[in-house]
Amino acid sequence: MAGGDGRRRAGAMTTAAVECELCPRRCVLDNYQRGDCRVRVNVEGRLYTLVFGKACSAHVDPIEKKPLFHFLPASRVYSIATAGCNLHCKFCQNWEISQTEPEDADNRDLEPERVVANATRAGCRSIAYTYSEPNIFYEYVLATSALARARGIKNVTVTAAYVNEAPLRELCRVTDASNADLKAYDDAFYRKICGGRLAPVLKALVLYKEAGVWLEVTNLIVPTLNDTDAGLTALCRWHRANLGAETPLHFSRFFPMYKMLNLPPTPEETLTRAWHIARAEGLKYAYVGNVADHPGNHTYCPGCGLTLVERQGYALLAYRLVGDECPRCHARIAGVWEPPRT
Amino acid sequence: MNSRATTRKVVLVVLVAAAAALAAYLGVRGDRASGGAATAAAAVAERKRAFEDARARGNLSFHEAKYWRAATAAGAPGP
Repeated sequence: MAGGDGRRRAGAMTTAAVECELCPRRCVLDNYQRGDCRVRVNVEGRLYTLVFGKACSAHVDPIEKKPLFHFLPASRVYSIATAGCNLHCKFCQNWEISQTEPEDADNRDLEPERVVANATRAGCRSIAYTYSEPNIFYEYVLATSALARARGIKNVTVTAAYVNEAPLRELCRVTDASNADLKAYDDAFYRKICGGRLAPVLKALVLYKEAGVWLEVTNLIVPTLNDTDAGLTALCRWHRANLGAETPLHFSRFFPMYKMLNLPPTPEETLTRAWHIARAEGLKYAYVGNVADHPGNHTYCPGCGLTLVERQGYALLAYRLVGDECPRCHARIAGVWEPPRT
Repeated sequence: MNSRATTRKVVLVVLVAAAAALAAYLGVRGDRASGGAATAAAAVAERKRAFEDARARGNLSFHEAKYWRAATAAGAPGP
């Protein structure tokens, strides 16, 4: 009867359903259902990824594009992505690949061995897992990173840091550097604009630092949504208190994209204001991105103010560090420094 | 007497009505449950077909994921 039927339903669901433990969403998936990220599917009670070794983007970039300003400056980084993402930011700058089904992406076969071989051939010092969200092509990142590290190539993730603790800890063992987004210090922003939550991101950022991964943080400033003095000050205060004054913070310019075509690009004055707030809050390395010819493109010595690294866009114009020190006052500059190989 | 008889009648009517409502509810629920199971099976079949189409159409891998477990909650809501 009814009760018996109900129990059978419950039994059938229980044996086939799986819970993904990769990200804070913890999607519970019935048979043949996909996760929110679109790339993980439950097939007969086991969870599979559809994008292992299936890159939809592969390019050689300057490391400054990630952006990583304190990590092997002016080096080349082999950069790959797959389709999918576990956030749905309305301003996503790479929505064509992040918000699509993997079967609709232009995937090429790029097994980990081939990624590392391509990076070596292109003279890249590192491999970046980027453009979409590396945590949703987790197994691919993990396998490729292990192989790369064994061949002397470093690993970089560019991430929204919306990931659970256990998988992140495992990934950090083979990750050298990460640029992680802190999209706003505001849970309502994460919920309304990104379809996520703030707390797991904060936890992940702290975990990167604890794990010894070189971390730089990016805050994309979107006009009217996360550009108030109070919000930027709160973000900088959390950053300093939890990640330290030596962790670089990049304020990046928004351009109208995806579902936010109604907003203008971030005014340069807003980025300059954010940069001043960060410096006033004691952050030693604040930067302005996506704006060329801005004083916030450069690295200054926090001890004496000397311009240590001059940049224009992604290009490095001058490099004055000696080892990891300021040549004038000998202050130590945090980062993974090596003189550019040109 | 008249008052007691009326009360008995009212109680009887209420009991009969409650029993009828309960029977109707159980009947409907049974229909819903069996209909629900059929719908769930059809939904799985539809998702399986869509998944096979996607694999045929796109260049996808089929690699077992890390970090998952069998779900224990019945009536799992999905993503």
